[in-house]
Amino acid sequence: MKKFVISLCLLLGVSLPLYAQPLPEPEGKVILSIAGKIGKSQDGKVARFDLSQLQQLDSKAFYFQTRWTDTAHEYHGPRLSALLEAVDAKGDIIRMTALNDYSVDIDRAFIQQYDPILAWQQDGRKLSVREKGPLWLLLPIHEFPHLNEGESSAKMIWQLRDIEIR
Amino acid sequence: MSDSFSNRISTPKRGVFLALIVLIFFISALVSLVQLRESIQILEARYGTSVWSMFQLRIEMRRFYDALDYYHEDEHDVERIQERYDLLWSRFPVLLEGLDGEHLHNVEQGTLILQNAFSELKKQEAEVFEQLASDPRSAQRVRDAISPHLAAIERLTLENYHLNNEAFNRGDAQIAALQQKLVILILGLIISGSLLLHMVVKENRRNRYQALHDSLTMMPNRAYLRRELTDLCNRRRPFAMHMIDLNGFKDVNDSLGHHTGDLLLKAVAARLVELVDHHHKSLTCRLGGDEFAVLQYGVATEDEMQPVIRQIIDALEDEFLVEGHACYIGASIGSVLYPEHGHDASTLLSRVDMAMYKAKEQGPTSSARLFQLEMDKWQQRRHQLNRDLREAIASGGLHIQYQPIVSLSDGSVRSLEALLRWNHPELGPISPLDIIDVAEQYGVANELGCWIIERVCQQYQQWLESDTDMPPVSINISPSMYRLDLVDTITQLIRKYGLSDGNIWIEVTEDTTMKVIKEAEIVLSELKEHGVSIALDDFGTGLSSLSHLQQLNLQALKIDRSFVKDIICCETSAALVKNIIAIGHDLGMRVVAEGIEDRDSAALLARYGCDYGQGYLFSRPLLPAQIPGFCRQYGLHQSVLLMRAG
Repeated sequence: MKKFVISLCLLLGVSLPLYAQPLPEPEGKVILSIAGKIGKSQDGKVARFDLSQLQQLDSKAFYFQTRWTDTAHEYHGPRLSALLEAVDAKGDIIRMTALNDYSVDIDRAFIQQYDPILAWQQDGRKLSVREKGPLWLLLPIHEFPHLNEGESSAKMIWQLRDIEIR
Repeated sequence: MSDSFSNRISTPKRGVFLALIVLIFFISALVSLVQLRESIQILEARYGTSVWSMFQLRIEMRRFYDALDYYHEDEHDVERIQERYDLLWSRFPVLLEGLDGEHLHNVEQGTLILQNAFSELKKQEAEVFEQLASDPRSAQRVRDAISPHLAAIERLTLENYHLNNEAFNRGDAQIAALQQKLVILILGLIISGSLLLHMVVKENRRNRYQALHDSLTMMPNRAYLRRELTDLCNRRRPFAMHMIDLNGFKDVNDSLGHHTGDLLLKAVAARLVELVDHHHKSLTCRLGGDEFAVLQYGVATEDEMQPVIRQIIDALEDEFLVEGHACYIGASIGSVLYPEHGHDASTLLSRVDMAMYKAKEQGPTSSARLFQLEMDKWQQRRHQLNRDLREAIASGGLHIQYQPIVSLSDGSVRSLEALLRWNHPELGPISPLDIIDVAEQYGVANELGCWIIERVCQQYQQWLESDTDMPPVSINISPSMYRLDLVDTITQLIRKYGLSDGNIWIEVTEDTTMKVIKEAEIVLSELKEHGVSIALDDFGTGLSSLSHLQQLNLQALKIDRSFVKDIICCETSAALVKNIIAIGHDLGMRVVAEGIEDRDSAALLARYGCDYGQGYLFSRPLLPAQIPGFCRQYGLHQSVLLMRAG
């Protein structure tokens, strides 16, 4: 019985802080802020990320040519769904805003269906603002060519700055 | 055929018509395709993302410019200006490299304006990132450098917007016009497509009709009959089938030509439909040649068949008037009953054929026979005979006997008739008529005929070698041998065995010869030229025409045994024979009486002036070895001896 109580206390002592643990503070320059209906943040309102934090998320790479470039490139970055999980996003509409205030809304279903990435790297080099960095939402247009046209292509927001979960 | 449309157009015209429709179809399709592509191109052209991107560029340029304007030598301001610089920079590749700038070359100097602005921006990089923080005048310098480009970009942005708008409006009008034309083209496609489909369906129906109907009489054909039979058998509906073969059709065809023959067939078909089908609700089909079949539905007994058979015979025995020629034909009818005589189409067809064949044998007058199981046996016997006949010819199972023909005045031997003998190992002796019949039916008649001629010539040579004076031997010729090169065959064999003119005679029957009268006429006179005399066998039994007696170059006339056997008891027979003898003599022929079995007949015939006699009274057919002895015993006629001396 005594052993059980100790184990229970230990379990609680370990798991509770884990569960309620706020996101670690970014050490480098903040490149992405997430607000709205999220379960995890640093201050209970906004989750801020520097590049190294984003690099720790589950990532993947795409190789293709977008309609805005003249050659194909390899793009690498965290899966948007991994990011949403990291902040425990609870809303279904993801509003994304760029440095130039351009913004798009994406449904969670769309994210689940196409699994986009937030590319921070192009051909092994960090994306600068001039190259549509620091973060560029990219859809798997090599697998779904129709995503490269019209409304879908407009969802591939670059120079991403803020995300609001609604 | 109930077809109204394609029947109105004759075949060559139909070809042109079809080609025209196909042409319209393909031209419509092609033009539609081209127009659709054109529409797509117009739509693609107006899909102008350049307007958006140009406005974005203009905004960023303006923001950068304004940021420089508000510069207050503040570190925060510097960072903001640098960020605006980067953002502005990022807008250029979108237009210069990507698809968004694709249509900018439509605007005068559009791309050049962009390139110039971008390179100016690049030139200012050092100012913005190095000088600006320390040198307040730097902002002014950058502004001055950028300013003209800002103006140019603003102009380009508006002009591009304007052009795109215009393209939109113009494109709408163009597409509307194209769509209208497309409506007409698609209408053309639908109409020509429907016509094509219509023609294909018609053609298909016509082909199906043709496959099941006879092209001459438009009656159902053999394929149709077979289908109908199978259907009736499957549904187990009782019915009778009568197979009709026209008697004497070949004569019409031969003497009046195929055209008249065809007209006669059409008249026969019409009469069968009108007099038989309409009254008995039966179905007449033409099976080919002069063969027809009548399906009588719902009949189970022989009695029920009779009215139809009677009707067929009556219909066909009446005179046919074809192109001014009166033609008299008759019908040989074989009949079967389902299910009594067979349970499937093939069996019924084969059995009705047998019954018809049997009826035909009763000819030349019209007759009808119902199938009987014995016929099947008879047919099987024929099959066996056919199989074994080839074998017998090859292995020497056949042999020849010789029956003497003697002078009625002095009893001397005048000639011999070669008679074919076949002692079948299972079926016993087979009559020569059966052998010839089977040979004719199964196409071995020529082979058999040649074998007989050669065998006789060979035998004759043997007799001559043993230094015996020999009377001539006559050989019977079967119908199909006229189609063979008979003259060549006989003369070559005569030469091969060293025989002389007059050693070999040919006997032809009336039926045989009349069937192929044209060929016969030529062949027989050629044979005469080569010293081969001709005797007409079985005179009085077949299809006789006295004119043929004159027409054919004949040297002897043989009176059939059926007349001879009654001459003592029957005055009519006696009168007939007496007159035949007179006719023969008048036409310069020797007359032979066949089948003499008693002395009284022989004496009477001698009194009538008949030259020669043949029959058991004088001798049965003898084996070759017996012949020389017989000749020695009865003596040869002077003419034979003279011939030898000559």
